[in-house]
Amino acid sequence: MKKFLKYLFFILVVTFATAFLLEYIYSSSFKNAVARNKTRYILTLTEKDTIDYLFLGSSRVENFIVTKKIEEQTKKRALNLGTQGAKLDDIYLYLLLLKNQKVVMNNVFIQLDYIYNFESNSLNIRSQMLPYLNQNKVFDAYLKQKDSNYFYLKNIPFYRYAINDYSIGFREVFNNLRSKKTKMDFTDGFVPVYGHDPNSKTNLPGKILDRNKSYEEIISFCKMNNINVKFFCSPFSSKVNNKKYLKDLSNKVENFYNFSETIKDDKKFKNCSHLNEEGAHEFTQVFINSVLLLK
Amino acid sequence: MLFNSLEFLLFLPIVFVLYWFVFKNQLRAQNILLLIASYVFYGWWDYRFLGLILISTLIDYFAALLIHNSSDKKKRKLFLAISLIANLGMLGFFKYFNFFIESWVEAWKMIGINMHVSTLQIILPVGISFYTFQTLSYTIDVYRKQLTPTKSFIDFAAFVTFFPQLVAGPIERASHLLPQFYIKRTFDFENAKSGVQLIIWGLFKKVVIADSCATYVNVIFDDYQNMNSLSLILGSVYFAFQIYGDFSGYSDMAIGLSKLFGFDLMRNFNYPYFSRDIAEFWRRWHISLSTWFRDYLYIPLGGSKGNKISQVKNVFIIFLVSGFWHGANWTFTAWGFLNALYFLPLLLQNKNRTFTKDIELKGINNTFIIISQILLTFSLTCLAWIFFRAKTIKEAFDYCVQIVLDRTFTIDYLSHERYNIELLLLIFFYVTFEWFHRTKMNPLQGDKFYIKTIFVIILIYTLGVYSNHTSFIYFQF
Repeated sequence: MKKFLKYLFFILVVTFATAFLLEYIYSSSFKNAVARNKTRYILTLTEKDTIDYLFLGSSRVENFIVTKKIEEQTKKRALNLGTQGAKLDDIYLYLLLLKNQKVVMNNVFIQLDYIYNFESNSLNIRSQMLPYLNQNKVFDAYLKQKDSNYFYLKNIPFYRYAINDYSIGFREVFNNLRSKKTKMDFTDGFVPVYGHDPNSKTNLPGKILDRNKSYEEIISFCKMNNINVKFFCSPFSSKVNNKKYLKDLSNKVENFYNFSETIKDDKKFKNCSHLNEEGAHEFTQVFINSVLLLK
Repeated sequence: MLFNSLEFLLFLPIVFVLYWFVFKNQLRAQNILLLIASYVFYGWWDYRFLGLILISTLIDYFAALLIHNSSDKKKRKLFLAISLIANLGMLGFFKYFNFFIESWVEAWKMIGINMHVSTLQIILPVGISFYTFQTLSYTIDVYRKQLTPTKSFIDFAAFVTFFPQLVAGPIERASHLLPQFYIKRTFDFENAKSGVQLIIWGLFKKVVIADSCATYVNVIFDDYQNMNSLSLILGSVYFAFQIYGDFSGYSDMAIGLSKLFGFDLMRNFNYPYFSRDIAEFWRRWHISLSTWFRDYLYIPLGGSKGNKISQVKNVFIIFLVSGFWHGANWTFTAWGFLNALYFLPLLLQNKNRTFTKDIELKGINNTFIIISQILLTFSLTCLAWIFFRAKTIKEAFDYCVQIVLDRTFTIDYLSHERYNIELLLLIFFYVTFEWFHRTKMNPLQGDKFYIKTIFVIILIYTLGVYSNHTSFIYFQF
């Protein structure tokens, strides 16, 4: 038995040592990595960065707002930080992060639709912040408050990487180590989608949430930091049902621009909730004309 | 409780310490501990099904004693029948009731008669097919006078519920496992070390090979209409490795865990994808089930005795029943039927026992022939796996038709940021590693054990899939 316990001890030592070593290698690779997602890109911004028009939200921002077009016409700096699957809580996190990086935000535009009904956060963004958990106080405070797994994520070596292997696992570390850049230009942030699916259909929720805690946090954060925040709803195709939801939303939200029916031609939609590239250009022009140039 | 869960990580050391330190040299206490631990392990899923195991245990315990104590042939048959009906009845009800009802309704519908029969909301108890077959082997062996029944209810109950192999096998014969509960178990370092190796290797097969393949398999099979020929072919190859890694990984862990407690379980897999024909494949794949059917179904039916027609009939029966054992869906029966078809030419030419020895490569010609045989057998197996994995037989046929008709052979970029090439590389290295260790019980054995172990632990960490914590496939059977 003594021999076996020694042997077991060896296995355990190897197991723990491997975890510590991998934790170190993975964390270092992310620390020194080029930006491969928008969360990481925010960490590269500094007080020297002034953003006149900042756009936040889900893919309904990322695929909709052509920032270059805005910059050309307004001669001001615009940034699209829309991220696939982002909810209001993620938007709040991005605001905290930008503030922490001392980025100057003159005007913030937040896309709001059915995401008002979600109080959860995006697993994608949550996993993107995990490599920086021990280096960034915003992430640390955020996860401490919002993630029941916080203790394990923070204290068990390699745990955060193992359970998020799909986004910060071996593949991503490998890409970090060879400094592989993504196709996305993060200084711009717009990601066009192409084509048109005529069979796409979707329903907006039947009922609107009474209150959204993250929305309230965003409002009070912007007030406290003198940030000019406005909300808008990006276009939906004619095949979206329950549009009454958006009326309820506009009654709840101050400074709300409802663009949900701005694009009439369904062929300018990739699917009923996402504009294709042509639609995105048209919508951005509408946005510039009716919001930015009227200011 | 899953072997690859945090609960089990706490459960195992507690049972191990109590077993070897607190109850050392106390055989009865150790058996009671194993019994309690097994009930906790099983009850972790759903405590309500503990009653089912208990009923099965009680019936077989008493049936075996009554069979043994009776000299009247009729009575012996009656007690055996009670055991068979009770066990197979429970299995039939929980696993096949709804399937039979739905098939009955469908059959009438085909001739234009609509029936309205309600099905029941039945939850399938985990591992019912495994422990039912294990207890059946006990009463049948006692009936055949090949085994003396135990008088100790504790020993028998511990044998039925032995947690390492309770939910997914290997399906142990009473004549092999039960006597191990009677004798004092002493701790053996080499045995325990080999057990740890098997656990690590089994875990690697589960979380690295099977679960990596699963992410691709799900994407391909769920969207097979939009996949090209190459992706569909790869989908079946990935599933072949998913089910192999999953099931043989569980078996390795089960055998390894048993070794930690001084028990020896039968080998369940012997590098099946290195088989040179289908007959050899079935001697290497799920060995405990194949041999169970051989001993308790095939041989009683006449086996390879009698004329060719009788032999063919027996082969089809055993493969169809084996398919049906896996689940209440015609896809499993179709899978069994396909395997029977593959087996048929070998049987008719009396070549079903051509390859009973280990593979030896001698010279270029011989190597080429053997590798071709292995690849052909593997291809046939992959084709059959499509039927096993598909949700319906129609879906399986559509999948095969799409492979033939699409004829596009470019490497697809799958959703969820998966590249086929990554998984192909992983599988290639895995197969190569197994190939060079194919004469060993597990590839970690032998030279450079420490280096291989460290390497495998690193791979478990780095390439294991933990974000989508998946259960073992064979739990559902």
